[in-house]
Amino acid sequence: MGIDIILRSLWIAFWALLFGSIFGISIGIWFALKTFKFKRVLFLILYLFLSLPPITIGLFLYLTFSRSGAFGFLGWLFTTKVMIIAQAIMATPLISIITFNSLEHRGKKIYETALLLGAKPHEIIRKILKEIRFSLGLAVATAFGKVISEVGASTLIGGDIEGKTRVMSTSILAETRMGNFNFALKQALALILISLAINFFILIWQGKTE
Amino acid sequence: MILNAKNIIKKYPSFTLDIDDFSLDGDVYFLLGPNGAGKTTLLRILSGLERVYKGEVHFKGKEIINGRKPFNGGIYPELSYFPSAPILWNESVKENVSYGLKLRKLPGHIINEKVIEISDKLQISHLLKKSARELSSGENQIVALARMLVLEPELLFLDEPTANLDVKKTVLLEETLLEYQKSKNAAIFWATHNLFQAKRLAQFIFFIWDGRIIESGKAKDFFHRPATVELRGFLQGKFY
Repeated sequence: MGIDIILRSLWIAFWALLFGSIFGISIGIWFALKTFKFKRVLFLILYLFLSLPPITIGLFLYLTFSRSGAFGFLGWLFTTKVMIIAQAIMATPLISIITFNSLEHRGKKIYETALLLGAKPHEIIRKILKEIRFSLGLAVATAFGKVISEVGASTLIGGDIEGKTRVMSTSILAETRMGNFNFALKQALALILISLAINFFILIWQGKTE
Repeated sequence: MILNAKNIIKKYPSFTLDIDDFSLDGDVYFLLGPNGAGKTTLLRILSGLERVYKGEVHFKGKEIINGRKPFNGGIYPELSYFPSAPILWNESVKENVSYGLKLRKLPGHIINEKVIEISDKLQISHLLKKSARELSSGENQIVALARMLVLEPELLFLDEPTANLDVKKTVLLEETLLEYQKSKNAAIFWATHNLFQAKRLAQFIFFIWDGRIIESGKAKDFFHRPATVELRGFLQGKFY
């Protein structure tokens, strides 16, 4: 059934979501709390990144990490490292926009209330995260669905190398093309079950924290 | 002297707040004025929540505002600001009331004692286990007040704190705040456009009009001898 493929997919998605969450949540909070010049322009760029087709992200990373590219010396092309970067780039704008939307009207009030009650900067951040935990759960679940099912960029920069960079989405594509429908269906089923399980755990976590 | 403010100027495209020197001590001060006169802006500046174009504010000798210099903090919750529509944390009422105490890392039994004491005083003991989401807007206001008072601030800026309350809760809040002020010798700076409330509670009144404090005085004299056309009109209910 390709357990190694499933584990690799989850491994890549985990790191991509971790980095995507760190950057995405930070950007979302920053946008919600700060007023600065060109905020609207930067926000438009963020939205542009949200709608950017994954294959274009893949192409950009391919050129950057290929031998003649700026980071070619790292030798990361056709490795899971560059796949993590691609997926993190896809997850970041989604997480940051959901974070921003959940804080747009309440963010400054949460910040000021915590400050007035004597919270220090790190305690204010913790409080903000706790207050928007439901939206963050939604953001991570949506981003997970996006990155785990992505094919174009993963194939382009990962190369779909068996035993090395093949993930569930690329494997479904490859096996279907070869007429190996049984394997492809099993992978598809596993993909659905994993997505459902992760959403289920997020729902339970949200229920517990309510 | 608890708070000292010097020549505060804050500029907006269509409005300028320009306040001369004044100071606050352990009394109940009212900031009276119509909507849009600059009450909230002034309260937020004095609380350290807004930067100014010019001016200084000192709290217990410590500089909290000086022109456009960044704010250093470290004055909360000794100084506190209560907005007209406070928010509660998306947690139980007890968690809300105990939040500031937990930040101070007080022992659990002391936190419990203080929470019970303030909850009894403000008649919210029956709400402690409830989620803050389930509260009415009046209950929300009282719980937010409990969350602030439990930290025993020395200076309280209150921005229309009874705006969403019914008569019973208004009386409860007023009595609690007056009792608190006396017992702690705290300073209360209360912004409102409610003349009757100012008459009932104030010891000293500032009247703000179009960004300037144009009259001030002891409450007992203030209503009887208005010197300006604006205050006379306000007292007659012409400007509200």
